[in-house]
Amino acid sequence: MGKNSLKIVVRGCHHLAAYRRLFDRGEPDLPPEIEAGLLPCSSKIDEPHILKLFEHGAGALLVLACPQGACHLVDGNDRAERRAAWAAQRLAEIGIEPERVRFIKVESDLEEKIDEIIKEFAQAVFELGPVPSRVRRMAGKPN
Amino acid sequence: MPKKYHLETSPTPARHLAPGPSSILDWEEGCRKCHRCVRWQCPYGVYLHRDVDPFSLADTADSLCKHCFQCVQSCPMRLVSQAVNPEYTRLGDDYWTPDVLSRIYYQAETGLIPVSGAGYGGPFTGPGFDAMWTDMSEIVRPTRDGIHGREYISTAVDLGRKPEFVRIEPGGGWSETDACFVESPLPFILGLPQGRRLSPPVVSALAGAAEEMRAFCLIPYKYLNDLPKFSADFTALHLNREQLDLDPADFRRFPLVQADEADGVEAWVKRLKNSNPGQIVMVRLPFGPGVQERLEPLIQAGADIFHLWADAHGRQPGLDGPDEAKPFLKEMLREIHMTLVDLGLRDRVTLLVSGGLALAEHTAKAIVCGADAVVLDLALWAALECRLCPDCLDRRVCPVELETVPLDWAVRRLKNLMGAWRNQLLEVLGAMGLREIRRLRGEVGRAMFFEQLEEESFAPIFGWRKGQSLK
Repeated sequence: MGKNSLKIVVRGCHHLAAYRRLFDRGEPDLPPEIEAGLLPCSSKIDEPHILKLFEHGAGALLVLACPQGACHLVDGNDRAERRAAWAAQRLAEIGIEPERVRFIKVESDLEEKIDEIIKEFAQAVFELGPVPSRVRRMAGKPN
Repeated sequence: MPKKYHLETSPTPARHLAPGPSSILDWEEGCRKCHRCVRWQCPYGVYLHRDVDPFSLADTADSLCKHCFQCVQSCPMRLVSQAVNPEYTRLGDDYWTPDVLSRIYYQAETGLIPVSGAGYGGPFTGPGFDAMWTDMSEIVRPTRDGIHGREYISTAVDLGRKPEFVRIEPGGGWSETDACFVESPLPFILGLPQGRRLSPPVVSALAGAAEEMRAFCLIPYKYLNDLPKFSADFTALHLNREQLDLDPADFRRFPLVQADEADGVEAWVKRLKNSNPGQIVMVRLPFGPGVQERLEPLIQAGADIFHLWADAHGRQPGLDGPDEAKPFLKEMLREIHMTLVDLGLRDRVTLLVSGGLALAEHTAKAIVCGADAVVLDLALWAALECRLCPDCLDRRVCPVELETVPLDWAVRRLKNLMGAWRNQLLEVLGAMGLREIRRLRGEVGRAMFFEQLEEESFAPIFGWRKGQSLK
C-alpha cells in the first residue's frame, strides 16, 4: 500500500465475540483499505499509540470496546474512551479531523451489526480522504 | 573418516515482528511518576525501544517482551499488567500451534536450539508424535566433548537404490549391481507445501539454501525458467501429472526427478529409466489405504524413491472429519516400512515422508518409524516468517510479504533452521548412543509408543483409556 493511500485501522477487544468471529477464517471479509486487529483489551490503546498510528500511515482509527460495565478489566473501556477523545483533540490541533478517531462501546444489541459499523465508519473516512502527508509528519511529534 | 560436515549459521533478524504470547497493558491513569519507573528498568529494554511497528501497526513491546514479569511485579501502583495477546493465538492452527511457530521463528533467526527452561511442563502424552518417546538412556554418557566434539555423528543419508550385493566378475574383479543413489549430508529435503502461495523468490531461496548445504531441494518444473540461478546438482525436479509426457532427455542434468502418482506412472518410470539410466526416480504418493499395493509394481518398474505425503497435520489426506479420527503418519509409515521389509524390498527403495513435520524431534521420530529421510515444507515456510494463515490462497496481501523475500536473507534463515534442527538430531542420536542417522531408520527399539505400552501393559488390567486407540 502506498504511503499516501488511505489506511483505516480497526482495533477491537477480543472479548467482543462478534468482532472476534470476523477473524475465525483468517483475514476478515472487509474492504481492502481496512487493517483490522485484535487487542487484549481496548485499554491497550493509549495516546502515544494513537498518534504513532497516524505517524505510520493510518488515515483513521476505529476502536471497538466492550459495553459499558462489561469490561474484563473493570474500567478499561472507560479509560480507553477518554484517551481516544484526548488523542482526537491533539490531532485536531495539528489539522487532522477528530472524526478520524472513533471509539465505540459495542452494546450487545449492536454486536451482530459489527461489520456494518466498520463499513459505515470506513465510508465516513473515504469522504474525508487521506491525511495530507505534511500533517502526518507532525502527528508523531506532539509538543 | 570423511571431512566433518558443518552447517554455518548466522543471526538473521526477522523482517516483520511476530506477535509475542503476551500483550502489555500499562495504564498511565493513577501513575505516581516514580523517579525510577519500573518500565525503564526492563532488563531487555523493551520499553526504551517501544514503537508502533510500521508494517503491522502493532505495539513492538508485545513482540520484544520476554515475559519475565519484572515490570508487572514491581510497579508500586500495579498499573502494568500482561494479558494473552489475541494476535498470538491467531497464529497457525491447532497442530502448528503459536508455540511451534514461534520456536521456528527463533531458530531461523538465531540458528540456536530453543531452550524452554528447566524441566518439562507439557502433558505426559498427546496425539500424533507426542504419543512417541525417543530413548535417551545414553544421555548419561554422551560423546566425550559434546555433539560437535571429536566423536563424529553422521547425519548423511543415501537417496535412491542401494547396492543389494556385489557381483564378482569372471576375471576376479567386482562391481555393484543395480545401485543408483546419491548421498545427502542432511536427512532433510527442502520441499514445497501444498495449498500455499509459491513465488519464484521463495523457490530460489530454497534452491540457494540447498546448494549451500549440499542437500537437495524439490523444484517444480514450471519454476525452472523463473529462477535466476540454481544448481541442477542439488535439484530434485518435480513434475505434475500433466507434465509426464515431456521428453526425459530435457531433464537429464537433474540427479533426481519426482512425479506424482497417476495412471501410467509406471510407464513413465520405465521410459525415464531407459532414457536417463543414472537418474534417480521418485514417485510421490499420498498416504492411504491402497498405497501398499502400489509400491511393488512401482519398484518393479524401476522407482528408486517413494515420497509419501500426509496432510499438514500428519494425517491421511482426503478424509473428512476431525484429526483424531484420521490415521496418523507414524502408524501408516510403520505399516508401509514393515510391508517392504516383509517383501524383502526395503533396501531397494528409499522412503521419504512429508506432512506434519513441525519440530526437529518429528524428523527423528519419522525416521524411527521407517523413513530414510524427510521432506520439509511448512516448517521452511515458517522459517521465512510465514504465519500459516488458513486463507493463504485467498488473501489479498501476504502479511509477511513472502513474494518479495530477499534471497540472501531467506537462504540464511533456512540454513539457520536446518542448522538448529541438525544440532537437535545430533543431540538425539548422541543420547541414543548412535553414531549415524542411517542406523536410526526403523529402529523402533529406540522409541516407546504410548498406545503400544497401554495395549501391552495397562489395557489388560484397566481397560482402554478414554479416547485412546491405536488408529
